[in-house]
Amino acid sequence: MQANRLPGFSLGASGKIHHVVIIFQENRSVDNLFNGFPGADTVLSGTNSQGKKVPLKPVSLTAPYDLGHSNSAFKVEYAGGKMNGFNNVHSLCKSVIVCTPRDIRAYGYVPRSEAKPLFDMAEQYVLGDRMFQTNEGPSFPAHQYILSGTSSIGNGSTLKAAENPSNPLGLGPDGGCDSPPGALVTLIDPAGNEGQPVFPCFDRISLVDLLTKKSLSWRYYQAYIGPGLWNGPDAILRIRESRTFRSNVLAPPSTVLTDIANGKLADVVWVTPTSHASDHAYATDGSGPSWVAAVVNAIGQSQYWNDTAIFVTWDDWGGWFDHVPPPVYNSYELGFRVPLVVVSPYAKAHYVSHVQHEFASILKFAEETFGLGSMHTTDVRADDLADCFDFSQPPRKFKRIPAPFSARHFLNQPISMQNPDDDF
Amino acid sequence: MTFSIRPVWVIAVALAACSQGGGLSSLPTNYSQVEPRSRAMAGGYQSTYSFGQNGKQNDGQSPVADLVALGGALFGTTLYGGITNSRCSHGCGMVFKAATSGSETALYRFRGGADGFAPAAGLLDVNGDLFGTTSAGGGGSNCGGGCGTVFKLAPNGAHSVIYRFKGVSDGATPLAGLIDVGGVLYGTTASGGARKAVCFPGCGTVFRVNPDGTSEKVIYRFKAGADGAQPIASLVAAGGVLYGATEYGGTRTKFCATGCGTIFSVTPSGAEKVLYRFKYAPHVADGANPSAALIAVGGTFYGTTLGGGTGGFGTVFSVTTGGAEHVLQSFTCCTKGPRGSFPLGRLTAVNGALFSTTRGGGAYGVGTVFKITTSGTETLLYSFKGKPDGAGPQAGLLELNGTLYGTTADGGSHGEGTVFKITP
Repeated sequence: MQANRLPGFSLGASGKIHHVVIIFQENRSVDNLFNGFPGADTVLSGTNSQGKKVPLKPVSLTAPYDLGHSNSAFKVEYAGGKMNGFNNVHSLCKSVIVCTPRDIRAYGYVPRSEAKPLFDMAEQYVLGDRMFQTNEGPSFPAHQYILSGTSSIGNGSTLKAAENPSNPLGLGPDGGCDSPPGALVTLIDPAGNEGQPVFPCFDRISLVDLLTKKSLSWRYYQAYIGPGLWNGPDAILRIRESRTFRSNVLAPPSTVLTDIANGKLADVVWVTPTSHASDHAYATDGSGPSWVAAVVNAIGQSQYWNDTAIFVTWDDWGGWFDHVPPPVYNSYELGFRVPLVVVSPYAKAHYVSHVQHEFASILKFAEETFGLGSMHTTDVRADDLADCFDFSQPPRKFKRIPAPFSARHFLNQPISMQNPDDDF
Repeated sequence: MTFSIRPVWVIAVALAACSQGGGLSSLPTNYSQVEPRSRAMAGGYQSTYSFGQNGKQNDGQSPVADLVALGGALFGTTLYGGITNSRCSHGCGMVFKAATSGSETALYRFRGGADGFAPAAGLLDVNGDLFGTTSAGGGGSNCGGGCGTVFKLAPNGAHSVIYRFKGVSDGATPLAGLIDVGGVLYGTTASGGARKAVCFPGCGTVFRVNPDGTSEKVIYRFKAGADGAQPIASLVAAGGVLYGATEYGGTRTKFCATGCGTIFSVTPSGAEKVLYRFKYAPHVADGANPSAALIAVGGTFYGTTLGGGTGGFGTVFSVTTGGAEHVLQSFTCCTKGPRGSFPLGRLTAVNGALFSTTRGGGAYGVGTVFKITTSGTETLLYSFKGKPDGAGPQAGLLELNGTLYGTTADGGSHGEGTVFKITP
């Protein structure tokens, strides 16, 4: 469906982008996933809480441990802005025999060979090294931010969902209006107090409202239908209760590949992964970079390439070391850096963006591209990613991104009801 | 990280999926590893049996339901343990008998097929036969292997299924136990019945069935509006009328986007009436999400809510048949602290005082036993430590000869739950 575009917006005025694709991966910081990328601000060592220098060591995507990335873990690592608490974050390891010592687990980076498809994309197009996760916490609130620019419990509320839901009744999976009885998520207030657990379902604005108002199409691809930490639309009541929920929220994620092939790419698309392709420590099988390449290649080789902007980012930092202290706006924003890759025929070539971005920067790009107006959440303060584009350049021809796993690999994966994530 | 989903609610989620086509991360799952010197503890508490003997789960795992006394012995169910197979990776659950002195006997181990699995509710004694429900299984094509059962267990251990839920109009996922009113069994199902957007597997039902399995009939289907949704608590009868609670539905607030739950009455002929709609919201310290059966004391009903109250960690409330509600006590603690949090058990009246348990909170963060007067004075009787005494009680207490008996879902010497007794 074509947008009714309003004049006067810096990006919208270009009229050259008709599809915005947001690929939302899992749990990596800039220093972790793009370490050593030419021109990017990354380091090969950090400091710990004793003031000692700790070298970053190569750690596979499939390393057998996960690091704490709750709000409390953020505070431990942030250490009041000193960025030296990464040795104190808790972690979960499949076996102590195969894990590195607890106090250096967070100080790692992914070998470039494992992230090569991502490096290839970033080298051809744009890497943002000042993209900050908007929230200081885990997946469930992050997936609210990428839809609404906030995880607040309602429009204008200062109370925000801060963590992943849990369930005293032990029924799962949790996260969303379809959560089983007993599901609760804690809130954080402006003073930084966490508590006041409530059912993880909220009635608030999201980009979907603005798109719907303009009769624009949207789709959200996820691992399975139902409640879940990564199934963001399920937690927004007005989306969940809408008649279009079941036609716009689709599983498995590889459905996006068939939609592209069948000429059904919506105006705005969110693509979340399966656990295996997620890049999430302890869950991924290492196929995440190939998965991203599969989606990018599908678009690049389709009718949609010339009018699409693809944004690849990661929902949270996953507990991994990063050396750049985030700006602090309030008790829950901003979080640590996460990578941002921008792919488009109008993306600048070989460009590293040092401009500060956050999740709502992508939402603002969509708002301005389609003339949607504002949600009046963090999109108000966020930039619009204008520095990443040059709309005066002729559209660049797409060059296929090589990857170890092809699209066929992902198309052949069955729907899994396995909860993809138990972030802690 | 990934983990195995517990089976109960997955059934409902699977139904939704098929039909369509971690704050609280600090909830107490770990507990102090204090080695036992004696199972007798301070404060008149004694753990009489720890599940998971000999490192196996043959004797059951995770008792979450109320005990019932029969012939001086205790009878109960475990949600998991027993027989493990492809349908029940944690075990299909079982019915057990425990002597008040401590020995335990497995009466029936569910196999996860046509006989059901995952019994989440307590048992009902009808003339020496025990009746109960399984939340899943029973066969059938809906709900991924069955939508739950009503079963009968004769004194000689002979098991028979008297009704298998089909999961559409007749209900699914019974999480509550049965009551006997005039020779007819009444119960609730948490899903099935009327489908709405926010309870797509169905918003739950009240049903009746004869002890011989004949004449099963849904007497009310919840609609997730003002009438409530998803009852998980057992009913109580008074004056020929059934009284119960719904987890959701009723009044929608910013803290309860799908409703904070209700207290309702329903006649055997199906006339439903809401006595009270909970209103938990910012600056409104009412309860939310009643999860346990009511009890009647002196013409007034008393109950607990899982959430809501001053801190959001649950309440004890009273409500009259005329709908006048009063919060007697708000639980305030999150994990560790002097008071409990998340009451899930039914209250038990002994000599005019009310007794029950909380799933979390207490001195060690893994649950409590408390006493509260009908005027609202609360006394903490016992804080669970985890090992060896138990953790995470979800059931109420049974009074037998002046002693209170209960279960913990977790903890104990082997980490699989306990049966305990405490002197009030």
